[in-house]
Amino acid sequence: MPFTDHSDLYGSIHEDGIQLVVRHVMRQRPSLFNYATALFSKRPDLFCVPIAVAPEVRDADDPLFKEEDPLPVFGTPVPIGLNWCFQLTDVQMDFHPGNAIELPPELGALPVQSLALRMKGCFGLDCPSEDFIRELIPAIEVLALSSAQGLARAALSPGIPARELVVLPTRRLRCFCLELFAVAHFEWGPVGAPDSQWLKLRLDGLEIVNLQPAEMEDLIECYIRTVLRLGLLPRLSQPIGSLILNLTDLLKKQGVAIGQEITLQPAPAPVAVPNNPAVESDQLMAFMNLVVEEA
Amino acid sequence: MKRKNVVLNRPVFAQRAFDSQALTVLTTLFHRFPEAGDYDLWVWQGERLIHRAQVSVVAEGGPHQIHLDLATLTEVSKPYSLAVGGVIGFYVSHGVGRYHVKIVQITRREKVVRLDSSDVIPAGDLFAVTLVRPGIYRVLQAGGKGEGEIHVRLPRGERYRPDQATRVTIGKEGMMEPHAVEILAGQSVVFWCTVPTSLRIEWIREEEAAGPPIQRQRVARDQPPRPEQR
Amino acid sequence: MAHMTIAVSEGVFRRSFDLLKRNLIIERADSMSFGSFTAGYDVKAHLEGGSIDLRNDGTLQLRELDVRWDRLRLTLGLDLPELCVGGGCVDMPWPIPDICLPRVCVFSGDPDVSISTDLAAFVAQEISFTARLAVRYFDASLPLPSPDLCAPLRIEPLPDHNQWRIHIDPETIDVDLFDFPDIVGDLVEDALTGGVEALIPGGWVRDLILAIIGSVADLIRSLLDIPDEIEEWLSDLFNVSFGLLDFIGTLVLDFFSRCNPIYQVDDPLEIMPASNGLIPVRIPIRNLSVSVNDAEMVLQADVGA
Repeated sequence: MPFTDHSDLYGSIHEDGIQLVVRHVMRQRPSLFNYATALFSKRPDLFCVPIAVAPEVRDADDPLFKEEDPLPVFGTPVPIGLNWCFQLTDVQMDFHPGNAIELPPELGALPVQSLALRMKGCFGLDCPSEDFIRELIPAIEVLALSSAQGLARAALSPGIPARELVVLPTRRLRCFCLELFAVAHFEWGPVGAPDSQWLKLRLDGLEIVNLQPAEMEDLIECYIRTVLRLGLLPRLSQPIGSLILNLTDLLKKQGVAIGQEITLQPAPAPVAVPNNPAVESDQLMAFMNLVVEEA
Repeated sequence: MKRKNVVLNRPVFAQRAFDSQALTVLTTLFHRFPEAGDYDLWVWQGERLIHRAQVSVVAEGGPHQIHLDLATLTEVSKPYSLAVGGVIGFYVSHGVGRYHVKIVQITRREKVVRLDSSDVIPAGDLFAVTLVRPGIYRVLQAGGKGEGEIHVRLPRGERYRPDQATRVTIGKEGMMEPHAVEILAGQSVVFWCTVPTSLRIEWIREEEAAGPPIQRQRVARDQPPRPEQR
Repeated sequence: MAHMTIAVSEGVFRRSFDLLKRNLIIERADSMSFGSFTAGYDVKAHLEGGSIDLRNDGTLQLRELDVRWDRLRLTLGLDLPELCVGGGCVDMPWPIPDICLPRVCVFSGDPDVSISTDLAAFVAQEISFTARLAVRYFDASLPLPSPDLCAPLRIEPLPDHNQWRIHIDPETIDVDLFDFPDIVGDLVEDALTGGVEALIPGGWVRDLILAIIGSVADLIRSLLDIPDEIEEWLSDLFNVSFGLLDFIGTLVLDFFSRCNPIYQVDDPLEIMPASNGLIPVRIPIRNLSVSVNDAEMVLQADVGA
């Protein structure tokens, strides 16, 4: 049966292909998946997981990570921060039927038209050494208890003006990684202009296995879910044309020349096709119609 | 495509009178050189001398006939060479100029005028006219001696060639033999003057309409021929 | 199994082809000399209509693509021979040599007659061909061939990056012969006759000149060397001497097969645009292949490592 039996155009990608795409995205836009303090631009060796990067990124001098503020140490008489990093790595996708990723029981069986995700979230924090803390304490005590703050502050960190954050120097980070499981699905929707068509990845559930106490697990899951839903996933939305490798771009351009506006619209489901987009047989499939309007 | 600038030779169609004493387009005067020797040649256009040259008539070698176009002569030229008994034909290719020619033989003792076309055509010479305008022409001789007639008509579908010439002999007492000739337009009449004379040919009138008008042939088609446009 | 499968329905393919072919302009001018005449043409046409079918054997069939002539100007120049009167020779009795008369010519030089008529309204042709789809890889780092034959035909400039390009590759192209109707023969003959007659004043002068040259029609025929009907001669001129059929066929072939793809895929393909100074994200496309059945065109490719 022809692919275009119920629509003008059809595009599909197998999960093996998507896996390679994900790898390319992570290597060419590492700053989406790695967050750290400014120190790491000089000390990328300190990351929990080395960042694999495409040569073009280095050639263009693009940042390897998104710079964030240091983690504040509470209660200090002057602002003090610690270096840290957060990395998402080893992203893996498995389209329905799920046969590559074993989901934890909390997420249940992979529903139809869904995909399973597995990734690692690694967090690293600078833990100042015992010697260093002992060195700092006298100055801290002075700052905390006396008014001779100017001298004490100068002793603490020469050359840094008052009220500025002091970031403790880091020799190495302490890291841990958590395995994350998720279930997601795809849907069409506009971005900005109401008639635009984008393929969006929607998170349905996220699970970190066996973290105690359970409330802490819930809290971390919630945070990571929020990071994914507000931070990462919106940037990965794809315009409808890219699912067919922008094959109709030339057609659109030639249409403009004769006063025609040619756009792609998802074929209506379930009227034309049962599911659109469809995730089945280890593939993501999209069904599109060509709409021509005389200008 | 560049268009060549061509000009219709109007005198060919406009002229109605031809005079041996004043050579014009469509007339030719032939002078024969029966004797070897050196000759001077002068050519005038109206009152103005326009050409001088020498003619060297030789016993052996040399062409038997030379044509000189009086309308394109330069003032001076190299001597002409001619075989004894040969002929120079003086003609006019274009323009409205009127010319006359003088030839003088240079002997050891004297100069003898052999030809002065503003006066007479000497015996032995020939005068030719090419008649283009259809109609009836009258041929007059100097001194009123003799009269002839030339009928010129347009070809009527017969095989036609302009390069046909008819000879008329002018004899004693101005007799013309034949007395009347008929030619097709564009053809020529050559008058052989066995006696000195001068000739004038004048168009008198149109010929009475004889045959049907000329039909312009179209390519054979299954269509009637178009009406003629004048 | 290929990583990516994309299918384009026959309807979309037809639309793509339709928009592409609108850009094909046939345009050419030339003139050549045949001795007693010169013939030149100045033509311009575009394509309309036609139906394109995808077939199960992997071929595309195009039928009844109309060549619409916007301009089909024919210029004919006749080099009229000299027209002269007089001349000929007269027998003379011995010892006088035969006297030959000079000719006097009717025009000051060889006149030309030149006509130019637009025959666009009288001719229509159709093109048909069978084709396959061919995948070509454009490597932006390689220099262009010299001379660049596609330069006048290309409708999109060449990209500055690599690209997979899918071309319609005609196998045989049939172009209808030029076949001028009778009316064209009349038109041309009238124009030539008018041109000749315009040179000549009217009245008996014309009659005489016509008598000299025979008839204008015969003169024209002999100068142009036309054995039969003038419209057949004209058709031969266009089909053979001018080589316009070959030109059209080659142009159509070059336009589709070499110069203008019907579809193109960038390699690498950009999936995330540059933003905030960050470079775009691009994925390499490998092993692109294309096939056709009677319902659709199917394209398959892999994501490169």
